Amino acid sequence: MNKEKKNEEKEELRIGVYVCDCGSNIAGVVDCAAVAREIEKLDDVVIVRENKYTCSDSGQEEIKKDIKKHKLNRVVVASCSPRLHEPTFRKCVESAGLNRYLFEMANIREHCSWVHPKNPTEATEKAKDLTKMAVAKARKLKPLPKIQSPVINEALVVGGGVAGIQAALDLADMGFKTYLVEKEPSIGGHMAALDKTFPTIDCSICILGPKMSDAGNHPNIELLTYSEIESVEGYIGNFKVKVRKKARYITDECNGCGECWKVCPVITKNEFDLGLGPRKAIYIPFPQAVPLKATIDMNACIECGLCEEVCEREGAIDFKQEDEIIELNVGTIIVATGFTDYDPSGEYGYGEYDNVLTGMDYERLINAAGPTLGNVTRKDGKKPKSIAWIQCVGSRNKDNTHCSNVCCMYAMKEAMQIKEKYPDTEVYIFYIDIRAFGKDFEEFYKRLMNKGVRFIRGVPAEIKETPEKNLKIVVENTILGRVCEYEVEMVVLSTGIMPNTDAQEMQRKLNISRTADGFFMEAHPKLRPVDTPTDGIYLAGCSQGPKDIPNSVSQAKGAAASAAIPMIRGVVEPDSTIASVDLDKCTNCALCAKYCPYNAIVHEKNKPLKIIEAACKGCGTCAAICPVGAMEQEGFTDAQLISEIEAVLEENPEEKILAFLCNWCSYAGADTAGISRFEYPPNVRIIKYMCSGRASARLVDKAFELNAGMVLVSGCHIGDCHYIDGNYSCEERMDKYRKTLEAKAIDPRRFHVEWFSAAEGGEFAEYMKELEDMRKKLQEEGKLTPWKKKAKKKP
Amino acid sequence: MEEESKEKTLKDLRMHAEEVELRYSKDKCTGCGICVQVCPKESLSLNPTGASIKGYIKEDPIELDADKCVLCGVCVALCPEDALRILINDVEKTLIIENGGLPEEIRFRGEISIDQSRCPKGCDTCKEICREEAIEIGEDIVVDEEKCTFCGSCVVVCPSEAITMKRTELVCEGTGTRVMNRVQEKLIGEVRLENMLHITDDE
Repeated sequence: MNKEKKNEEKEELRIGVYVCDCGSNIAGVVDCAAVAREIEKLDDVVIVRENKYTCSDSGQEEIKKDIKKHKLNRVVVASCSPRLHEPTFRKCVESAGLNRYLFEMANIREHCSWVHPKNPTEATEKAKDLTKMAVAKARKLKPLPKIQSPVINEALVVGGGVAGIQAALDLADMGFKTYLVEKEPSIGGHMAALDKTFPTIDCSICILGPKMSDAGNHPNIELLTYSEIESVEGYIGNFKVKVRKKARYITDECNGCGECWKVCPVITKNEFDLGLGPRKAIYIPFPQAVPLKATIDMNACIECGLCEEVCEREGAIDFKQEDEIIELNVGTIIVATGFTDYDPSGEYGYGEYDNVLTGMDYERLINAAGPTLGNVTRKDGKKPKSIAWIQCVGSRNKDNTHCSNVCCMYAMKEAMQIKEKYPDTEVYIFYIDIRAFGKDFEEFYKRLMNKGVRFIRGVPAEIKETPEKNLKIVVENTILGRVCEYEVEMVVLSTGIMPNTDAQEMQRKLNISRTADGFFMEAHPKLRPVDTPTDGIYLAGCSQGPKDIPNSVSQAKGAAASAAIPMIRGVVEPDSTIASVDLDKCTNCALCAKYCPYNAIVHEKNKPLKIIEAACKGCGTCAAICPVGAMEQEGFTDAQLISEIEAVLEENPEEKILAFLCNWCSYAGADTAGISRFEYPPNVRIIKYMCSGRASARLVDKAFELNAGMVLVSGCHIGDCHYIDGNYSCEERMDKYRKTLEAKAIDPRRFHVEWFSAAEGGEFAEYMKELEDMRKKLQEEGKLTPWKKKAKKKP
Repeated sequence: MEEESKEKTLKDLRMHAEEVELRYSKDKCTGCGICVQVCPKESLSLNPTGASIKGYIKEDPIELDADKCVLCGVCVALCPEDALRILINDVEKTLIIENGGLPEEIRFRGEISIDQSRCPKGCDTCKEICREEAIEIGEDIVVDEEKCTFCGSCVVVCPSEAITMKRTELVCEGTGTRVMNRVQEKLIGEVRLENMLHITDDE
């Protein structure tokens, strides 16, 4: 898209500014009336209003009326984070006839009132600055045309546990072809391994089995089991996914009859039984497996050929089978990859003592299809006369601070089962808190108490094994206030729900984020719990955080509904803030094409540069790298960003820390600091770009030219860039830039490059404190001197 | 029992609900290396047999990498001296034989010749190691081919490679299974120490 002629710059600017109280969220700290008065003084500002809740119906109506009545052609709202309500307000101005890109927001809540509650005066000054910056940028905004891109109406669900299965069923029932990819040989996940579920004590596989069967038979669901995601490219509406279908050495001819594993000579540990019992090299993980097909574990198999001999279906066993890479083209992706159990090896004698098990181990023992045929027995085969459950193993500690949600209930369920089957068993539950928060949970807890289970409030310090292989538990009974010793015949550790061990890999492949606890991050913790900040990718089940079965199912249904929206519409409108080139200025050096992470710029010799609009995701790397300023990113042009820099550094520039933050990670991290109310000094002024790839020497130079106290360039952590590798090129450029500071008489300690993720609110706030301390020190030492233009070479 | 106490457990797959063990009896082992050759996972390796049996080194004639072993029982089936056993929950059970993969009894036919000039007089390790007492040392070394089982232990221990042995046939009942064919491929032919040493490309 070429730059349009400059007629529009002659239009009369009529800017409307709305300063939001946000109830007392902003007004409680910031003097919004004072901000409004200050803004009224600015050129081109036609109307300034202060209102309680700008995002409300009445607030939005007011804006629409003003646009019409006062012929506004730019609108600025100073309120919460644009990550929350920019879409809301853009729709609002558009419905009043104004192009949605002629709208700008100032974040005076997450970045101001919420983080400077003890400094109302400074916070008010900061709010004035931030609003001035938004007005300055608004002056330079241009209307942008809508872009529409088609949506493929097929979906991918990653993970075949209860959440993945439910999401796939709902999507398939809606009529969308859905691929369900599962890394194990069968779908079912953790729920298939459980015996009974709380609080109803239903048989787990009995309620899951029919859903698994439906998923296996649904005409709209294609099951890809024993398969993993290799790579994901593309964007909402058009994801290109490569799936590796691992070789199971069995073809579709197999009908799961089971004659093969009877003759297999190899014995190894059965992972589905958590290593408690055996399986053969050729196996089906459990009787209700879907698909009901065998799998050969080649690590164990010796290719003796006995299975082949006994198999009655010709061609069912194929030792020559190889991994297959399948390419899928889908519109939306749901991530339902579940969780990993906490491994307590080394704690409380797990792995060493005979009779210390985890909660999941217990499920496999008490399951009639498990390795002991439903008998909860010790390793010596005897039934335990006493069992103790220890809660919070692996959760709520300094390594994993979260509560795993289900352990209190599952321990109580397991205890209930023992008490109902063998009422004479002595049962103890050692807890910190009993969390029985859900529907019918408290009632269940009461019932269990009435069965004579001893609830002892205290975390055992250690467990010792006796010569009879019993366990001696030493614990402070905090209610009695003294240290006690209990000897039991079996201990069950209620281990927690941990993020998947391959979560980091999955995060990189999909370009989504994780919260501090390691689970995948939602777009908004309250209002968008099944979306990720990446359009087109949704979350369901424990991949997003520990939860029980009904909540996983609810979330899966929510994710399916969300994923259906763009697919039903058939089109999405990506942001129009994409690259544009001024061919008059372009010298065809093609640096932009080289650095574009999406190969969206086509450079051919002797031909003008071409931008593939559908491929451009709007990172701005090309704009930063262009040596002649021919490349611009609409919505984040040099003129627009520089106007913000000029506005904020008009007064007292040395007092200010100018921070360039990227929309997906560091800006979101600063939002998180606000949401969590982590306080930091009010000297920081934040300028948003979409990606740190947009950071250029030109912009930082401008900041130092105007004598900014400190400048921070920030983005996603290296390796996690939302635009693949924008931050790599940023780092490269900023390293080179740093070397030029000395010649400009700018102390290099005034310039910082630091990366923050969206979850790192605490780290961001701490770093702001560090920067302010450094700035103060430099100011005291007289080091915040204005820059010197490069001296001319002596003749 | 005394005999069992001299047995050593090479691999112990100990699960809550089941225990599977591979047990080895050094006393019975003659270090022939057949188990090392036939193991499908190459989990067994041969130590200097003569030195081990004579007690000059503390290592056993064979060693097992328990991580590679899958308790398939091929070594158990092929061992000419029954020095290896698999036990499931303390009961001797070799699935690969029970399920018809390998036969219970295996014998070899072959040829053996001794290069008398290479034999260092005074060494009688081959006679010591032969369980069948098929070797007599007089003026010359003489092998009674009727007694010889072609296990190859003498070839392995001879310090001057004076013995040439070739297995020509594997004699047993039934089974034309894959695993049987592979065993035949590995064992039929000339008995060479190199074949038991797992020399890989990257060494």
